[in-house]
Amino acid sequence: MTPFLEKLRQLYPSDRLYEDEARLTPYVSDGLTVFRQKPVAVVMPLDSDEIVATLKLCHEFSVPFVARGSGTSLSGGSLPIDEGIVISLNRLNQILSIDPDNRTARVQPGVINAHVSSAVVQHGLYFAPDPSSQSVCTIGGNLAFNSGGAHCLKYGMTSNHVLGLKVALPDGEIVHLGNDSLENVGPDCVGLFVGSEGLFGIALEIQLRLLPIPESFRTILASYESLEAAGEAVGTVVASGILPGAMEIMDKLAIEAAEAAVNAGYPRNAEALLIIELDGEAAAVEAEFTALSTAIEQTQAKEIRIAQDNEERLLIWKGRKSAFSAVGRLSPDYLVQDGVVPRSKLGEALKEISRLGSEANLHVANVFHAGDGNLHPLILFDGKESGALERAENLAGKILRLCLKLGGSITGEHGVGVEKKSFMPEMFSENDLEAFKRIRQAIDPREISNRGKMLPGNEAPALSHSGPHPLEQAGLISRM
Amino acid sequence: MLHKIPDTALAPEYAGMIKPIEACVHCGFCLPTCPTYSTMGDEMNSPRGRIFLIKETLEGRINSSDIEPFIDNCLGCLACVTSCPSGVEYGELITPYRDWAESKRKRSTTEKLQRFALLKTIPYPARFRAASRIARIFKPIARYLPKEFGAMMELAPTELPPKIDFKGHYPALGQQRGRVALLIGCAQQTLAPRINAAAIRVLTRNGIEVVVPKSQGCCGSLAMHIGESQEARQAARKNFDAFPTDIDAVITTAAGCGSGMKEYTHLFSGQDEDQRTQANAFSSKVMDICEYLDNVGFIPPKKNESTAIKVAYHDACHLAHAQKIRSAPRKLLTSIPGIEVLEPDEWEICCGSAGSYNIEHPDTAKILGQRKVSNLYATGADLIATGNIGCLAQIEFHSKDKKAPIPLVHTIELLDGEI
Amino acid sequence: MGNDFKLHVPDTISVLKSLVRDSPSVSIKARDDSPSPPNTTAITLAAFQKIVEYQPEEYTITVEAGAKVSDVISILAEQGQYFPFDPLFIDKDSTIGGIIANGYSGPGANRYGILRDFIIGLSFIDGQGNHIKTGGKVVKNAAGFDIPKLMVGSRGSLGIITESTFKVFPLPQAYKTILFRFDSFEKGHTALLALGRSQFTLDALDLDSKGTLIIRLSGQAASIDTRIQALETMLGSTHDPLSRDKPFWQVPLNLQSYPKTGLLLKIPNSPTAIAEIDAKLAPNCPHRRYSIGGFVSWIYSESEVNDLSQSLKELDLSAQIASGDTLEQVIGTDHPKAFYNRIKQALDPQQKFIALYPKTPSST
Repeated sequence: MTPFLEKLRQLYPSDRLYEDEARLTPYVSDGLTVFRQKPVAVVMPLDSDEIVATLKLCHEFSVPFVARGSGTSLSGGSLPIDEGIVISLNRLNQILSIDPDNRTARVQPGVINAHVSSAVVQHGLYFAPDPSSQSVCTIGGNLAFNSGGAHCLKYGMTSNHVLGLKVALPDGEIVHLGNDSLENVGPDCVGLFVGSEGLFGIALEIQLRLLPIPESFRTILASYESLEAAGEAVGTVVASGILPGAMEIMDKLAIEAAEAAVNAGYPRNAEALLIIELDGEAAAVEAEFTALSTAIEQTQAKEIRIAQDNEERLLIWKGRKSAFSAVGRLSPDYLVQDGVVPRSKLGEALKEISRLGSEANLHVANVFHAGDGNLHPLILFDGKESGALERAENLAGKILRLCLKLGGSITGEHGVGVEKKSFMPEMFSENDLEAFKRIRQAIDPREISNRGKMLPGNEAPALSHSGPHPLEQAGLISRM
Repeated sequence: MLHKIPDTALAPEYAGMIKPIEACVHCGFCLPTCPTYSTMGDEMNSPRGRIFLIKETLEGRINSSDIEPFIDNCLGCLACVTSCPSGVEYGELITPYRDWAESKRKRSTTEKLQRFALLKTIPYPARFRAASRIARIFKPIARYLPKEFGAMMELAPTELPPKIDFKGHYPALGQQRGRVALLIGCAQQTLAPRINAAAIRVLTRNGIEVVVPKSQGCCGSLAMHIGESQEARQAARKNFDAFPTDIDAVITTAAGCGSGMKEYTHLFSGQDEDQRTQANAFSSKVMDICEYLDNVGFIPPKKNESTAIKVAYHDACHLAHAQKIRSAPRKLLTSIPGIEVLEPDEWEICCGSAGSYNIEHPDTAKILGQRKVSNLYATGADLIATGNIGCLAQIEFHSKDKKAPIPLVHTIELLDGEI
Repeated sequence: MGNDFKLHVPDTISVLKSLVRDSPSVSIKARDDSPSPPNTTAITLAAFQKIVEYQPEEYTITVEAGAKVSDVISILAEQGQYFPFDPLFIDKDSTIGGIIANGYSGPGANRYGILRDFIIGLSFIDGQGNHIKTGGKVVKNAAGFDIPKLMVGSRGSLGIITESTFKVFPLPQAYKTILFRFDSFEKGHTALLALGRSQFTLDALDLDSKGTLIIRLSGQAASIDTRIQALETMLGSTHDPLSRDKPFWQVPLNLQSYPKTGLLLKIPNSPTAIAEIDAKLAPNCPHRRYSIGGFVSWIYSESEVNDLSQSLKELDLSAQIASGDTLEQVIGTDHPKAFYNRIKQALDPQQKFIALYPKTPSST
């Protein structure tokens, strides 16, 4: 490690290379705090050349690295690697160019998601992917984890909004993928890169697709006596043939938390809340709204509210997007899961999650993208209580298996990261994983790029659901 | 967030630090609104990072001296509290932590001198006036002085307005609607006594009787926010005695003072019960001038002609974040015919004044000051209004190179209708 | 095998796997009229035509790769659903595997996205005969590498697609196609750019080389006329209605309608680049259609393939050859080649499938 660090010191001045305890400590965790791992060093490159030089060094010395933006991953995707370095991309935060006629923006990876939209609002454009952490999370992270958000059903995930990439592969080779178009020539390499969880290197420049801001919105809140009733309402809306921009459900606990955080004006007495948003041309939205109203009338909505102006609409979304963190008000600790089930199995899944929760004697709050069947059960626990974390993790594991059993996925948008990689063999066969591994090794023969994430293997910790992980016992990793 | 701070590790006055640490979920929503994170871009200079570092320090994993620079860099603007969905009261962590760490701290002589100079001049109007005169002499050589003093001299006002001696009592005009006591503040009294004069006019015209306790002193906020709780409690106790209790509210026109006084409950949390009761009683009466006027129902001044005026409103951190007062000043301003309120970009980011921050950390304060000024000027306003003397001074200082400086006023001066 | 032409029709995955394992070179044919290199085992997936899973309320459909696109489209339509990427060049023989491998999307992709935006799961046989399942069957899924997208446009060079899952959408209640004719190509192009930036959510937005905008609206029937009026207001001209929608869309975009003597190219580009493309290629390219809001150019050219490739390089563009008498797959620039070659090495180390990028410059 010493010769590597000596070369790193030649590359970075001391104010952009952290090696001391106090400056490394805040980097030990991302948004998933149950894991912590101290890196050997943190570097803060200022440009692409420094990134490439850093990767070449890492490759030469086989030192693993993780690229980090705002550190908001909920799957431990930016958890540092044992004996590895963190490449902090926060100072590569420039929007390099905006092309309103072609509806694109070229950005550096450290740009915050919401800053893209605010930079292009003057052209009547926006960047569609809207993960709840959009005010914080960076485009680089969105890219690595193919982040979703509330509007995925209609508009897709990050992957559907990235046109081209300039990438530094883990050995420092620079490649250009994609182009300035929605279309491609040859295989969709951009599609492969997006969502690869940092295993393919670092995106240096990202060509984003922008959309015109919809002319009109209609945001509807409908409250229900039960989660199940809200779930059924989603089915009714879907059956009506309307394609809303977003369909979200929050349960009582989540409503309570979000209300406490931002006063969003949600009906507090509701057991479940369904948020539906229509967007598009004014005339089209009005016609859809009529059809939607008819559909909603057929459901057992207790109360229906419609956002009266843009301010109210934004507040509704602010509440929804604060919900995860706001749950911190209800419970000292929580784990958030991200499984997906077929939409028609939502009711069944929620019932079973509630049963599993009672069985484990744990409260579960639910906030989810109902239109996509993407669940976000928040398992509440008190870490000071002995064995509580293990019980919570155990429940999380059962929920993931439930999603798989119902024909879904272990993750809709948070990614596999460190947290769920031990579940990969339950979703994919050995054959499939072997193919992933071959592709990974073709891109990164030394497996230094975000080693220990997504693909199961022995080189890094996996969340264990039966007591401490062997690496924890060995003192190699620890939890807070 | 899980922690392993031993139950016995903290004295009663510091026990309140546990709650914010437990409440933090490390989601990072605070990062982009933090002025130091947004200028430095590193985790230890973010609220989330500082909370983590404090946790580690209190757990005994890191020495407090190792994290000093990052704690010191914090402006205490509390933008993180506004952006926090989990309800972390960061102020209830950083203030006691600074006090906790101060006793373990080894400061250089110049640092000690600087802090001493700050604590012993700004809160005392007579000394502050005298010091300002001295500073004026040193101004030309400010850049040759040690960093700790250079900024002090540079930021010192070139000219002080004439002193105003306030009377002890101003009766309500017209039908009486309330009775308040006014904290006239220390620095503000020296730098801009016109603000309190306007406040008294607005209040009395609104039917409010105003008492200005003669023996009042500094509220102690400055000391409290730099980790000198002892000094702060002393100042607060002096005002407990100086202020009458038969009043509806203790009014302040300085956001920094208002937020500090509202925190007395925490400042006195480790003290005996009598003091705690006194602190709670005082603290619960503290109101910002705009908060109070909005509460009682503000009657706008009668104007013969209304001229259209575009006002860029700057949210003082200690008003918007610490006291969560944002709508009242806007509501009051727009109640005056002709006033249009403009919203600058990045309203939540501190201007860099932050109590004595611009004196202690001139480099960061300068970046933030310039950023704030450019955002305010970009609105194209005719006037800039804000509710805090520190912000006024900082914005004024960083717009001094502007060819056409936009006039800068305290909100209450606009409500006075004289502008 | 020699040069004797034999079309293999495996009926199980394991037969298919063995065929790949045992052959030095493999190619997949939807029909037997396209050229095939010598010593190649030609395979058809005619036995793989099942609809594996279709629950309309899920907005997803899983089908085997040999399924006929036209059959799938009618099955979807029966349930009031459709492929929003508007499958292109569909005839009675077109298969699902074929449209994925070719990666063509039609004008209707303007509203919600192209084929790669709607593929969520995919199984394939790699060059070593492994059957690999990737992606999933739910509309949202972030587990594992996104191989389904990678396979779009791969032209069979990375593996044999056996099955795939698509996200589908409810069929709009009504459609209407209208034309706006402009005096010049430039004016039409300007209008195309303005519409792209506007808040109109057009189902299709194409431009032809004469400067005519071809627009299709879809949605609730009640809103369409109002929306057309708004379009007219914005463009400052009135539209020509089209009475027969489908023929109009299909004629210029029908593969069979182009003579085999020339080349039909798909060029991905930015909408502003159209002006330069049209100016540069016009002389030898009699048919030029700018589709999907101007993000794709369909160019029918009578130039030599090498000359075309050179012209494209000068424009910093690349193109996929959709039809024509050549073995070339991709011409023009080849920026992703280095990355692609690494993937190719991982999935087809023995080079059993076709090569997308020729190893040496072509001498046709």
